[in-house]
Amino acid sequence: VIDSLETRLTRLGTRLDRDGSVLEHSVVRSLDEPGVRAPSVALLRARRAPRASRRRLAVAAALVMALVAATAGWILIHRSNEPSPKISTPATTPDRTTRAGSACPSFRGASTKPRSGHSKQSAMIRDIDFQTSQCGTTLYFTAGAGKWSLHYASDGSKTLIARLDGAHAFVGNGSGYLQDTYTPDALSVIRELTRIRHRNDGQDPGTTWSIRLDQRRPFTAGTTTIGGTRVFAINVVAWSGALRCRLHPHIEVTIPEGWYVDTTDGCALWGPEPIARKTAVGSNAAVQLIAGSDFGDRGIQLVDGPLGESSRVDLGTVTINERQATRTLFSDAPSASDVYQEYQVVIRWNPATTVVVAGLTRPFPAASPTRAPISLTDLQGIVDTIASSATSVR
Amino acid sequence: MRGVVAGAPSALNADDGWFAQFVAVDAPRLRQVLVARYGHEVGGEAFAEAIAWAWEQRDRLENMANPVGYLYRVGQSATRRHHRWTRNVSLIDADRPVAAEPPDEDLLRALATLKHAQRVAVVLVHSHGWSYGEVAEVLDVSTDAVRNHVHRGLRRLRALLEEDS
Repeated sequence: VIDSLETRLTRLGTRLDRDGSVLEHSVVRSLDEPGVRAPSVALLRARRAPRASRRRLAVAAALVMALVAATAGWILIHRSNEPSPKISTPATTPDRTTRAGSACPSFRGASTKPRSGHSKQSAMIRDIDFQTSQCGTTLYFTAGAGKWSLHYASDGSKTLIARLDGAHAFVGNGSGYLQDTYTPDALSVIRELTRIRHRNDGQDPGTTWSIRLDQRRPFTAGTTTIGGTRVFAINVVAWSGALRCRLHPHIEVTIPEGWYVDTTDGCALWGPEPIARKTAVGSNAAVQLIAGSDFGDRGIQLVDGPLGESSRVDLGTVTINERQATRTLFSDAPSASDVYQEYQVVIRWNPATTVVVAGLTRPFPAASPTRAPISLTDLQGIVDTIASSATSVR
Repeated sequence: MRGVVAGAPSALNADDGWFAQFVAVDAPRLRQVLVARYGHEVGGEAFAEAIAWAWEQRDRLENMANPVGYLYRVGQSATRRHHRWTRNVSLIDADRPVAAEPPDEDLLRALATLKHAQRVAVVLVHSHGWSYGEVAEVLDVSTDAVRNHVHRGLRRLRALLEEDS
């Protein structure tokens, strides 16, 4: 038996070396590829059928898409039985108007603010995949990301920079397992994914990717599990659900479908609020500045008709019209404390689109002594923030 | 860390003397030990990582007495982060028809059941023709330990193959 065993072991060695020579050649050759720092064992696998994990991922993705489509369909059907909300939105509102929160749970809480986190890391990214739905596009890295961060390249940029400090990628220069550049389908809001940096240190791997979007959009990111496989997912919002931002202790901005605001304050994605459905001012109103969330339904009863002009502040693209009013929202018997300000902010985004922001600044002290009236200076700062960061979806 | 730019040393064109020598002589040995330890898939990936690391750090490695042993540790570190490293080890990629003859399934199955150290020692010594001393140097263990691993590994293999037959 020992003679036979040794012979068989020797024959095995011959086979291993024969396989290995292909591997060695592939690995070493990949070092010469311009821009490729990682060798590609995957070159050897390129002709194989998809691995079971990839098949599972594909099946899971298909199930998720089917679920999303079914949920969206259910919502659209039931929406048709409700009275149509009277919302004036910009003429540029996109067709994709999936409701937030219900059909797009992965996208809830999206914003354009930088994000970072930490997850279990793995040395290698096994696969990269894109999934596009009405909610947006999800980019999957089949890997544990390790310490990760995600941010826009610069102010106003539409390129996200994703840094995965715990995962690097084998790259095969087009024919390999992973590529340097990916271009998703035309429906995706992600235009291109490019590996821009690679730290190919076995002790300390890491990759950095640039994700070029069609435009600046809110996003979420995090680790999840699909079909038993740990993946790092980046969800880029494509739908146009309402975004609510608290810009000031007294002011919330509710941006209806078709718009979002990139602010330094906390903004979160919400389903369309009743407050947003009922409060449209003017045919071009798209953003409403609501003074005091405690107003509830009464706080949204904005004054009809044109507002008198008491002051005008030219912020370049922004005009504020303000006037004093004495009408109360709280009782039929106005008192001195019920003097309040109405204001209307007109933001001209471009020659074709005008956004009207309307709101009330008083009374606050009567209801809550801790709240102070909002000054015109406050408004200027707030509007300036909006004007510098708000962007139409299209 | 050097980047790959136009005019950079080429790994294939052998204008980097030490690395070309390393690729010709030591890389196969590194591949053999990593595949023996982790199997063709994870071991192959660990090998790829180690080679890329060697390319980046070739100035450091050039002065090392035991670069294969060092790079074996680099490959090991890479596999530690990998979730598949605990799976059963398969030395041959059966899906890839490189060889005309089918793989020795019984032997591969038996090898997969050995302890890692025994499998590495047996494969390196009896399949790849390493000496006990060479195995000991790369694995950073004593020659006696390698001898014991080989002896016990062969004994176990014989028992398993006899059972099969």
